[in-house]
Amino acid sequence: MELTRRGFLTSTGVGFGASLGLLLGRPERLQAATAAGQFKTRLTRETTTICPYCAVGCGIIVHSRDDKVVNTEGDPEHPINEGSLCPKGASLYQLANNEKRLKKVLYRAPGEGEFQEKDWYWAAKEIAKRIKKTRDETFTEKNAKGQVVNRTTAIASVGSAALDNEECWLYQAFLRAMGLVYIEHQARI
Amino acid sequence: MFQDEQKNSDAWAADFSQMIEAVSCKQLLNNFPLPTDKDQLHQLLEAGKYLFVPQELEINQPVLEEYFESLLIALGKILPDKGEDLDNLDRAYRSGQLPAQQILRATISNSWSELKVWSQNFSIDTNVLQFVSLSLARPFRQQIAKSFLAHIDLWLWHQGFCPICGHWPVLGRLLYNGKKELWCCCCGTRWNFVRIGCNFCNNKNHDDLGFLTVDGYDKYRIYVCDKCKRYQKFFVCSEDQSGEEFDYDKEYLLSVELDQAAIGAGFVAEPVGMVSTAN
Repeated sequence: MELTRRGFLTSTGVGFGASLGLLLGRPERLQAATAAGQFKTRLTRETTTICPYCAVGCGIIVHSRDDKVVNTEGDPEHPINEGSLCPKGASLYQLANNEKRLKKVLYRAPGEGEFQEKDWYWAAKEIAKRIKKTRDETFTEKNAKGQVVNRTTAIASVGSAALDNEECWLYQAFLRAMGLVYIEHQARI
Repeated sequence: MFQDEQKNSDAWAADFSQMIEAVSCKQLLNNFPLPTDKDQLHQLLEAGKYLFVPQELEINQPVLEEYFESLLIALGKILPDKGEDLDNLDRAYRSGQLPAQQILRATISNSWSELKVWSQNFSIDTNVLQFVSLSLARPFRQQIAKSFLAHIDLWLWHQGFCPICGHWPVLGRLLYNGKKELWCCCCGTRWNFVRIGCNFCNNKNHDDLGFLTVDGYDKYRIYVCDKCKRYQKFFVCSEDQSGEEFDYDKEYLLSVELDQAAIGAGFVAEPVGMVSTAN
């Protein structure tokens, strides 16, 4: 006769696995440990994610405790990497936890020795301003042979492996609209 | 403190494990009609149904009785405070009132109500009788399992319960490559399971899943599920512990205290004798 869970628990009073400890394991020690709260347990969650670095997109398992990352490891069931990670992916833990991680915009003006803290709005505007300034100062409409080139060779771009094909197209269209010709992708390097 | 005591007591667990292994190598069954249609077996596995359905077996009686007597002697040393229960069991056996074959038959058919009646009739602690019965049936189930395993591809199996006898696992391993392996103490079968998922209710929601670590028990994790509130103990393997020779029986016996840790943390133990209702 196959026994249902309810019937089994009713008949034995407690799960066999639980009572095996009392049967085998020195009951007085178990009681002392439980009473003294010596079974100190900590709960860790496991969540899957994708490595943010390159286009391979390796699977990673993140261990977290109280909403803090405590460990990362390769996901053995991810079809792409099957648990293995390159040095960058293997050190992903430090993306979340490293005292040297920058959390603010720091700017050091030309000739200055110290970094100053700036806000993101200032940084974004400053970047846009400098791109335009460099482009305007170096933009060439025609080359030495008189051919229309409409380019700037003073700005280059390397990136971005984390973008998908459509995003890559948009990105290079934006760069070419500004006149860049030195456009590279780090996946080729 | 606990780990020092545990090192000293490893020997009894290893001896018990070796005893079971030694019996498993003998001729235990006289005739076991094994289904050999590989396609049929694979269809059952793909449908999530375990393979061994309890049935009448032709047991090698002398081997059974020799093993049963050795088992009682071994348990007498392991459980000195259960001596009276073991004596009562021995008396019932020798008087012919409770033959070993009867205990084996009831265990193989998962007939726990019979064990309860015997436990009452012969004044034997139910837990003692259950442990004896599962240990008695183990080498027989293990030989049957081996016969099945020689004919099937286990990668087709994706369930949390044993593909051979349908029992829930009591211990698993987190292998060095990060994969999970589960183990059935009833027949000794090992099989892989998904890394993130509850092997009891198949819940794969990350928010409900996690593992407990217990201070002083660094080589274990207790994976838990907030949905069904059950837990599964896992041994965390180093590279050289990830091979076939890993002694599950020994580690299971040595990890019993962790059940109390899990229960204390609010989780529920799945009874060892429980069979999945998949079939």
